[in-house]
Amino acid sequence: MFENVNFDLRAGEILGVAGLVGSGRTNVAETIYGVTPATGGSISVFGETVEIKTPAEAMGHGMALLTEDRKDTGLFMMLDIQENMQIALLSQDHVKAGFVAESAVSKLCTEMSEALRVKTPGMNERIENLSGGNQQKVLIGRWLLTKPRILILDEPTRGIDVGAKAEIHKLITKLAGEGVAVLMISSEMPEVLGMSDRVMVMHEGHVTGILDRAEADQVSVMRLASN
Amino acid sequence: MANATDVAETNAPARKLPVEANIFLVLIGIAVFFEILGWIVKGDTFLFNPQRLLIMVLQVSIIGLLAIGVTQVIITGGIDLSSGSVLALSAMVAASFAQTSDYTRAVFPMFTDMPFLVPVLAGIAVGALAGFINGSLIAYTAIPPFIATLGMMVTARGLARYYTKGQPISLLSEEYMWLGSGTIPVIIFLMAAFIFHIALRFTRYGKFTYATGANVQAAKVSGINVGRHLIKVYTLAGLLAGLGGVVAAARAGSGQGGMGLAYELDAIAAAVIGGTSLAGGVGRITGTVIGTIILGTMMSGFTFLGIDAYIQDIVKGGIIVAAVVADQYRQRKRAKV
Repeated sequence: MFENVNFDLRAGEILGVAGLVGSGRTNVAETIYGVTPATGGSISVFGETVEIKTPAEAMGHGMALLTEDRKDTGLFMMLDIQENMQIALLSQDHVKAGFVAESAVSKLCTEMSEALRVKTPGMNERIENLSGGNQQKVLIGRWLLTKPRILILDEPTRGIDVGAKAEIHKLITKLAGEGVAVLMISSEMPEVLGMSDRVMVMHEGHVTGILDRAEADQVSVMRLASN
Repeated sequence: MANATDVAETNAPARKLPVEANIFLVLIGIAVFFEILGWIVKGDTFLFNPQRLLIMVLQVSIIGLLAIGVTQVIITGGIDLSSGSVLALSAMVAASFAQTSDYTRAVFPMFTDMPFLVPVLAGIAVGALAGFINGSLIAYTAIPPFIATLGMMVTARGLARYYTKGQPISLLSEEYMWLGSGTIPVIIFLMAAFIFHIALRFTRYGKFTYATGANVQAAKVSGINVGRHLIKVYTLAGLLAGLGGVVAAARAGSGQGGMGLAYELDAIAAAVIGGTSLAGGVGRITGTVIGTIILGTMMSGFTFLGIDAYIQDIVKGGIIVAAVVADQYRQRKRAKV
């Protein structure tokens, strides 16, 4: 339910995507990532035109998608932290003759958990016992373990506490600094304006403008978003 | 090392015993119940009879094989209603390749006196094929597992009877019948349980099985080819039903189209009693083994006390419902956290 959405995403930049709810932002992200089948258009990754029909293929091209609704499409509620964190990694690597290289994977997950400062008594804690912010950190950790070159974040800080929010913002900036291309969908104006190198604004399935950091402010973004 | 304040902050409940411990206590409770009733009603021991203990497990070994398969299917959030019928079809096919040449009216006169492995592999292959069809239907037509496996349940039963136009297949080779003799079925059951316990706990297959059942959409986004994975799980469940058929025919000394009638329900019951959640994402083979033995203990207990078979079914039905209610209760408690 979107058309003529054309944009470039550069390595090391944060491209914010603003727009009202229902403007098709999530749809664009899911189509790029192969969750929703595309009816037309093309994607090129690092100069090479690719066809992405499944998330697995997207991951193969170095993409990662942090979904909008972590309860619905992110978390495995009845599983523990490590099981939640390792799953994307396991679909690519660290498996020998079908068996999970448990000690290596466990070490990677523990280190990631510490690096992201996930507050938990242990890696075997059920994820449902964690706060929203910590759950979100585990999901981000899931994707960072796959070492993505293109990171799509859909409402990365929705419904989490201020402390975790600041930590996640810092982390996103750091990743972009390391050369990761970040596409960040957000409904929070301060987040979009404060984090993005450029801001793409959508309205009813169309891109109504791509603003540079200097020209993006509350007024210009809102005007394009409501058109 | 997490520091102490972090631990306190998350306010996590203290580590509880695994679910299996509770189920094991239920098993002990049931056994003690029959032991006490035994002394009161018959003045005899129920438990301290090695012969009876063996039969307790022996009579549910075949159901146990089906239960190991259906446990994995239920963990993915699905259900398999076809295992009893697939067992019958596999038993028929296996028996038809296990006949001796002494029998003048063998199903395949040119395939008599075959080496032991031929009927075994034929039976297992038929089961795996049925499971593969179940899985493919579910993965590619997106029909609910309930319907796909219901179709297979009816079809496989029909095929099992059509195979010989309803005639039993008898006079099987000694070699083949060894599979059903003595403690062999129990050993096969426990070996299968061990293999799939390892598979679920330590392999990628296992991790994907839990992930698929816990949140299918999240599993897809994480790069799991859910359709292909479901085909694997249903194929393995079919393979186990096929193995169950091979053992059942060997134990009975013949293949019959009516074998394993309603076994799929006992298998599902064993899994659910053993703590596998019908909501998906939760379940263990160890629990299913205990659940299977609970069924066997009840059967033996009722027989020991001389209670009518009909009453056994009534009580069994109640226990199945109780197990699901207990699961729902656990889920609700979890949702509140």
